[in-house]
Amino acid sequence: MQIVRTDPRQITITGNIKTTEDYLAIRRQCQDLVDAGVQAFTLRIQESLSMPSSVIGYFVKLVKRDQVAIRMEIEDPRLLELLDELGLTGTFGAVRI
Amino acid sequence: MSIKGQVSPFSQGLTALLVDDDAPTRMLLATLLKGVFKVLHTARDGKEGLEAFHRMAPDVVLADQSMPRMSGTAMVAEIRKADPKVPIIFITSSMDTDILVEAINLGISAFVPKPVTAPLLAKAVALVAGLLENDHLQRKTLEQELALLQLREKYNDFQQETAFRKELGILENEFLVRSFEGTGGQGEWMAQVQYVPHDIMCGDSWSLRRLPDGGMLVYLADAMGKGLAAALTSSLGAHTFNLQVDALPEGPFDFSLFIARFISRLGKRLLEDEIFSFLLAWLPLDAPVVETASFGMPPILADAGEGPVQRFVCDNPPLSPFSDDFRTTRRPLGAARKLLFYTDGLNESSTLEGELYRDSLPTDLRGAASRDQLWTAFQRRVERPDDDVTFLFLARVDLPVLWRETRRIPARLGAVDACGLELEALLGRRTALDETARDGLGTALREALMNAYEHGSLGAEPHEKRAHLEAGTWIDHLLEREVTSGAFIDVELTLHDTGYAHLMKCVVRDEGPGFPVPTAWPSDRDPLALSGRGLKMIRKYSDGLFLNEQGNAITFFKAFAR
Repeated sequence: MQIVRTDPRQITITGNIKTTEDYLAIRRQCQDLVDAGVQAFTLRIQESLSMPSSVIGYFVKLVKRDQVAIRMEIEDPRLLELLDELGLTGTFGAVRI
Repeated sequence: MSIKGQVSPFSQGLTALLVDDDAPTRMLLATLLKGVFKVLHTARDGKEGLEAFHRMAPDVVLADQSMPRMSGTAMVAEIRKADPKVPIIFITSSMDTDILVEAINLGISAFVPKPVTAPLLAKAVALVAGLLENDHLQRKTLEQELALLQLREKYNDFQQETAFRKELGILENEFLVRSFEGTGGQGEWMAQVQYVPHDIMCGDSWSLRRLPDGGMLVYLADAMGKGLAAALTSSLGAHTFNLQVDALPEGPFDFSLFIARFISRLGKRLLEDEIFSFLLAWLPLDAPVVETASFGMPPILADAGEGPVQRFVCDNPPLSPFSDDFRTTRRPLGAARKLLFYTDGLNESSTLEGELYRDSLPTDLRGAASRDQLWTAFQRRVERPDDDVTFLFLARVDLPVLWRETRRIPARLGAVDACGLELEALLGRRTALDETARDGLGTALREALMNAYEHGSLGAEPHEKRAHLEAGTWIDHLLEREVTSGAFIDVELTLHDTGYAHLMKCVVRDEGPGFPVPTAWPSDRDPLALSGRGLKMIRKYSDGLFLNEQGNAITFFKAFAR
């Protein structure tokens, strides 16, 4: 998995999200944005078919506890389906690109 | 002088349009109508009147007949195209029969002859105001009745939903996440239930219970009729069944005694003209047989993967208050790998081709390695079931082994991550799983490994995890904790041949004390919880899962084409 900041308010993730290392990289990038005072940003997730529950838990924390508005632009419908089944598409502002 | 006092106060809430080309008449009428209406608009001829009507949408129109540009009747004819009901008072000096007939045909509500007098105008206005008031009252009454109906409907829905939750509370599957290791040492079975009520209240009910001696007892019922009465009988059956199982003494199970008590208790509760279809099936721990007492239920299907699918027909007619005897049948399971118990909503549903699904059921059963696969096959053929559909899908999971891989890893985060990746890659190399299934099974494996690492090996409690996740210190906490842990996690991947498909079975076992095995999935889990989604994700990406008795080993599997 690769993760880069593609815009002041946009993070792009390519490849599959699978490991603890991936989780830590996502948390680090998002936290940098939040620490810089960004209260709303977009996550562009390309390729990944699924997402570990640890990453999902982190995004829930961002939205519900830290009151950060996130929008997920998701390329693969299978990931969108997972978020839908977990009842999280609205919370994450998840849309298909 | 105004006619206000001679007209119902209801008119004061109405708007009116007065159309007359004669200015003195307009002034006279305006004086007479002062305070009668909330608003009185005026127009000087039929054309202006028509435009004003479309613009203002008045409740009442008062119109002269003889006007330049457009006559009163011509204007009314246009108004009627837009509004066939608005009351119109015709004010005319004309006694021309043709005009009067035309006016009547246009639905004029009242006539006032010219020259206008206060009593005749008051009479006409009172008439139309009365018509509108009646109309208003009728509408209001209808609205109230509708609101009442909606309230009743809402109340009934609420009652039904509450009753359905209670109904669900009675149904019990002790094999929801537990396998059955029985049938005379001849196999390990999983039991899955598909329960799809047609209405909120459902005449189907079921229960799967483990007997004190380790055997399995199945109850499946389909009460006569539909709705509340059927649901009540069916739930009563499930409740009676569960109470009897709860009260069973330790020691060998007496199937005949159990049935005799059950039909005696339930038979007494049936109405004189009521019949009740149900089955009881016993899979003893120490013999490779199934013993059944089916009362008017569809045949039980048994599939060995080759040869025709066997049909175990019912042993008794449906139960009635007058039933006083019963028969049971004991059949060897032989090479059966799957058993299917179902209500007639499954086999009697109509397929898209207009056939009954019963003809396709044996083929679909053979091709299905799990409840979900059978349900998918059913849905491919049946657009909408005609009735409640319930089936209990029992399948052996100890099948011929094609290959097996085992790993024993220390409870270290790095090892857990590496193992997950390595095994997913192995699945890609050694199975025909497609990309979606492989990624899904890989995700399920990683979730199971993380669960075994966090909770099984390091003993992390859910509240502790929640607190660390909120603080962003969870991973650091785990890394700190793992240093003192000498625990190991065992993983086993086995590829089985079911005879018609491959079955990938994954077992992840930790050395922890285990956690309680649930008998129902939580239905209202908070989607915004920070943790606790692992099991749900494993369910999503597999065709079935179960835990061992201790609750420290999870088994899940995925079937796919050979």
